[in-house]
Amino acid sequence: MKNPDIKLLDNKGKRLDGRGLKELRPITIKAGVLDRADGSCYLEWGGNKIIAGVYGPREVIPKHLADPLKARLVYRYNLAPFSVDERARPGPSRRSIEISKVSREALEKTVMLEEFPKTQIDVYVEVLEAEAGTRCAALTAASVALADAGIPMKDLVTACAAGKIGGKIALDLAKEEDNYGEADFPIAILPRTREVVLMQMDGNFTREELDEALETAISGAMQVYELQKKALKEKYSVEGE
Amino acid sequence: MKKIVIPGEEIKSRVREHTYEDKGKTYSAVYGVLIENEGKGKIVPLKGHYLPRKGDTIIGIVEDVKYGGCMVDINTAESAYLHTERPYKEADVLVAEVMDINELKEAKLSRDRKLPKGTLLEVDSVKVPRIIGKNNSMINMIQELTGSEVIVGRNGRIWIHGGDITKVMDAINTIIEKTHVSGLTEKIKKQLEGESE
Amino acid sequence: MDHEDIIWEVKKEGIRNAVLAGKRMDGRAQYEYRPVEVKTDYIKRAEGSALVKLGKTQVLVGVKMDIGTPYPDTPNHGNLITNAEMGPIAAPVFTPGPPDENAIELARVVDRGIRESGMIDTEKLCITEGELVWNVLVDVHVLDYDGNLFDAASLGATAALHTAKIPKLEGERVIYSERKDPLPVKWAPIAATFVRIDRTDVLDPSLGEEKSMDGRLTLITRDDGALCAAQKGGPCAYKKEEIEKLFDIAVEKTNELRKKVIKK
Repeated sequence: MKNPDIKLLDNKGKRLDGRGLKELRPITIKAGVLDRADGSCYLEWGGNKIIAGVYGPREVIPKHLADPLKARLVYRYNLAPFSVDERARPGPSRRSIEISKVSREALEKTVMLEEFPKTQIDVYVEVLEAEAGTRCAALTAASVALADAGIPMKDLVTACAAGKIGGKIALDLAKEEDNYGEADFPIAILPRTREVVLMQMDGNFTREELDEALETAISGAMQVYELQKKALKEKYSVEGE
Repeated sequence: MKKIVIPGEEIKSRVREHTYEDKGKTYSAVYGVLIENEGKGKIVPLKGHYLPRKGDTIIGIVEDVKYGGCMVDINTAESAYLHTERPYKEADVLVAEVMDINELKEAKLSRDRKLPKGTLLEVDSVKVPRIIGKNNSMINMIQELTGSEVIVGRNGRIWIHGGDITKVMDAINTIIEKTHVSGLTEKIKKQLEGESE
Repeated sequence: MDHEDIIWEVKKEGIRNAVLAGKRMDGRAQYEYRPVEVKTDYIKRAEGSALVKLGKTQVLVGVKMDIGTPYPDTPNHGNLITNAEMGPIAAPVFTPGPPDENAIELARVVDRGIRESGMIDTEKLCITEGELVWNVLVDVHVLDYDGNLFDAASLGATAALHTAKIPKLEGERVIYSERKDPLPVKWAPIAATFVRIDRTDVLDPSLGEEKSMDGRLTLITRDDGALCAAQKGGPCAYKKEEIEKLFDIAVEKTNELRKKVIKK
């Protein structure tokens, strides 16, 4: 929704929060933060606070949903009621259900489901505080939690969004940019091959803008990948021989 | 050389387990410790659910008694089956061997022995080799210095009977925290003998 | 018996014996709390919040406010609504879906502690008598369940409400980005939960102690030692003197917690 009163870019090309067009918001990632979950991750991305927990592979309930050839992957994205300005009623909204579906499909490309037939792997992501780009932050955290749980995967999944504000392609939209900008473009990639496994878009892109947005979001995701790696590697200390 | 690897990270040495191949290159499939020695190596996952293997000694809990045998919980998604004449009842604890596994990863058990009442611990199954130690060195030392009888199942279950149970639990917790630290056996010995670090 | 129940059936005896021998599995004394950590103002988008760690149990309580009509029998008071989510992230047996009887009991007990203690001065939340009042919405969000959600949630609710700020009101529009006045609060009720194993009671049950218990007693007391809410659970029975003894211990132990956690 466009609002001509809000200038998302000043005349020096700086955004409302002072960032440059291709700059990420501050991100911190910590692996292994929950006791009961098999794997977990806590992530802060701008004003987003996300916690992801993974259980599995475990028994499928109800039994008739078990797949004899591979594990069943379940992804549940959930907003805590106090995570948004106007309290959100508990329970899955249509938006949460859609986000859960596309995120699950992104992960199905990388998790080695055939290793665990007739089981279920549950990925639960709670958004404790929301500030634009929650689905990307959630999927990024979920990927770390899956690795932390010891689930075999071909690669991590890293998500990042690009968008268009003031006619220019920008990386990692913040709240007002998401509300008043001209396009929102969240993607997720497998960092090793840079292949896109999640992609959604709403707004208005020319062919050239799409190209720039893809390039911007993918290189943004590669920066986030470094932080995912760091979170996993620094969790344990090993002494070299 | 030891280093932490994550899924999708390229592995240059020859490692067969917990890896996958793509266009002639090898990549890690798990979050684990890569231990390399002269071009060969292995990956020890840092966490993971127990995958039953033929010959494994496991500790199970009887879930369901059927005619001619029982369904045993061995801490995996699928229960295992034990064909036995012994009179088990629900919630009995036993130690047994994995005799066979089918393609659906369902295990059959044999050589069962019922365990008397004791203290049951559950740890991540990837920690078990460290708790047992090379040629049972670690677990024997723990039993000696605490006077407890300790049986460690490959499925991450540990049964403790008699002796100083708290000391055994403390030692196991230290091993879990410091799995990949060198000189661990000495550290545990000191801890059990009452010397603080 | 299902998978989880079987494991606890086996571990139960060891846990019970430890308690009855005066030596809890984690080495604690009979009436000792696990390490407590409370971080208030954790969620900036909430009017108030508190992340509570009680041992390995982690509960996040958020306070949101909005405006609405008062209840007909309290035309000049704001409203309090408490909800609890025991979501599937917090434990292997929790399933997604609407709150089950445990989550409902948790929410209602926490609510009673807040309401009956008079912690919130609801009269000050009246905007226009009979027409418009502030609603206070307390949401308990369980992140990691390792025993004793009652105490963690109650402590979190009290800490969150004590640090909550009211959003700005412009006519009938709530401006969430601007918060001014603190929520008008008086007392700081805190819950103390004891589980009973045989005839021995222990404070702040671990997960294992909860799974092995014969019953439990939760007592919510406030700063002046008054009892505001109580809840007995499980099939055990208490003698009158036993209840009174636990009450005295509850007051003593929650006073210590209150000093540590609630800043005046």
